[in-house]
Amino acid sequence: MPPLPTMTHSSSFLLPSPSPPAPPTGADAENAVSYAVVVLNQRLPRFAPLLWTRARLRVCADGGANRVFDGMPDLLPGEDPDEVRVRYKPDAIEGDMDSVRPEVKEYYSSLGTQIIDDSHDQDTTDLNKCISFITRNPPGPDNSNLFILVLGALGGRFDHEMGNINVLHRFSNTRIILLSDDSLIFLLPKTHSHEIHIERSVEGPHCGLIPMGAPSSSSSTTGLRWNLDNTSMNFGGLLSTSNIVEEEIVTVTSDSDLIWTISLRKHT
Amino acid sequence: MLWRTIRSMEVMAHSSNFLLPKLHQPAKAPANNYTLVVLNQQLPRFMPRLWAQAKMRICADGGANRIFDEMSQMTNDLDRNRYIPEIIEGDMDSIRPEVKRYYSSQGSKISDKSHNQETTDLHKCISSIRHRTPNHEKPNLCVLVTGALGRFDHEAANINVLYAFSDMRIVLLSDDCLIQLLPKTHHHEIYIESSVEGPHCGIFPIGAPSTSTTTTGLKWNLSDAEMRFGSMISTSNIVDSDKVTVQSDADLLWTISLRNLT
Repeated sequence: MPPLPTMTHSSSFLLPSPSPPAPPTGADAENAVSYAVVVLNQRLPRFAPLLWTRARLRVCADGGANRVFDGMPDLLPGEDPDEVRVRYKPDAIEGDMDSVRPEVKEYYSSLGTQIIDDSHDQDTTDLNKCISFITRNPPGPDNSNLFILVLGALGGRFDHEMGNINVLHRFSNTRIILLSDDSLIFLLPKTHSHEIHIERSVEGPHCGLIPMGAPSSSSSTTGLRWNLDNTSMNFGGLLSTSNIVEEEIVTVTSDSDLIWTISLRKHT
Repeated sequence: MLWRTIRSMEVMAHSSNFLLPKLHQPAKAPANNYTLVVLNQQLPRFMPRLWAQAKMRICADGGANRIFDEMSQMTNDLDRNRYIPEIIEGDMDSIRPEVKRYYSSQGSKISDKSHNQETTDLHKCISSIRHRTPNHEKPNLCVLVTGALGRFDHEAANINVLYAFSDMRIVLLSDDCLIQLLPKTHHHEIYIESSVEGPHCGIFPIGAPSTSTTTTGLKWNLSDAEMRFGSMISTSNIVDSDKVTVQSDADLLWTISLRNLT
C-alpha cells in the first residue's frame, strides 16, 4: 500500500505579527496561505483582533455580528470605539438572522457589509452556511491554501459545539480551525499522515486526539509524552486526553478521522 | 427511575425534576436523591440550590477551590461552614493546600488517589460512588456533575466517563445545557421539565454511527434515520412535546438547553 500523503499543520496565525503584515510577493504569493475568519455568537477570544487583521475575508454568523460590534472595542480599550467598529467591519453577515440585533445589522449594512439572509434554509447550521459562502468566494486565487479560523466555536450550548465539529467532518477537504479562549481543534483526516508543527510560545502543552463519530482501530503518534503505537481508541475505551506535547513536531497517522486539540497559552 | 418493558427492549425513563426547587417537585416522584460532583470550572449560576438539595457532595480535586472561592459570592453568605463537601477526591494536583486543610478540618473526607494516574478525577469519583452504593440502591443512583465542559480534551474525557459507566445515570450540567448518555440497550422516554429546560436539544452518535434512530416529540423527528459525523446529526432541534422518545442502534448523547435556573 503506498504511503499516505503528508499534511502539515501550524498555528503560526496565532503569533504576533508586525502590523500591517507585508503582502507576499512572487513565488511566495502563489503558495501563500490566506485566512478567512468566521465569528460565531460567543464572547470574542482575546486574540480576535490579531486574527481579524491577518484575515482577508471576515464573516459573522448571525449574532457573531453583535459580538464584533460590542466586543472589538472592548479588546482595544485604548482606541476610539467608533473607529474600531469601522476598522473591524465584517465583509458579510450570514445566517438565519434571528440573533443579530437590527441596529447592528443596519450599522454594518450602511458600511457596505453584505447581508445574506439564509433563514429559508433550516437544514444547515449558521457555521455550515458561512463555510459554504467562503469556499464559494475564496479570498485568494483558490481554496488550496485557505485556512478558515472560527471564533466562538467551542463552549456554550453543547449542540452548537457538536454541530460545529460536524462541520469539520463535512468539509474535510477544507482547512478549518475551531478556536476558543483556551483551546483549538481541527480535523486530521485519515486520508493523510499528519505533521503538526507546535508553536510553543502560544500553544500547548496539553493536547489530545479524539475519534469523534467512529472508533479508530489503529492510531500512531510521535512527539507526545504518551505516544500511540497502533493503538485503538473509541468512546467507551481509550481516548488520548490530557496528553503533553514533548517535541516541536507531532506526527499522527490513523485509520480513522481524528480531532486534534491543543491548549492555548493564557497570554496568547 | 422507572423500568418497564416495551416489546423486547426495556424502557429507561429520564426526568430533570432534580433541577426544580424542592417545593415544585411532583409529590409522587421518587425521592430525588442525587450525588453532586463538582469539577474544577467556574460554578454554574444554580449551584447553591443544586448543593442544598444534594444527598451527598463530592469535590473532584480543584472543584474544592471553586466551592471555597465562589460559593460565598453566589450566596452572599460569608459563612463557608455551610458549604462543606462530604468528600474531596482525586489526584490532588489542583486543590490548594489551604483549601484542603480547611475542608479536612471541617470534616470532609480526603480521598487521595494520586497513585492512580490512569484515570481522570471524574472517573475516580464515579467509580467510588458506584463502589460505595449497595446493590439494591444502584438502580436509583443519580449523579449530577458540574464543570465537565471547558478545555476540549477534558470535555471529551468527561463525556467518556458517561460511556465507561453506561449503566449509571450521570448528568453533566453547565449554565447552558445538560448532557447525558442514552445507551442503545434501552428505549428512552425523556420527560421534559419545560419550566427549566428546552426548547433547544440535540442527539449525537459520538462513539459510532447510528444506522437507525427513531424519535418522537421533537420538531424534526428521526424515523429509522442514519446519523453520522460527516453527515447528519441532530443539532438545534426543538422539543415539541412533554415527552421525547428515542430508540437507536447506537449509544447517543442527549443534550437540552437549560434556562430560568436560579
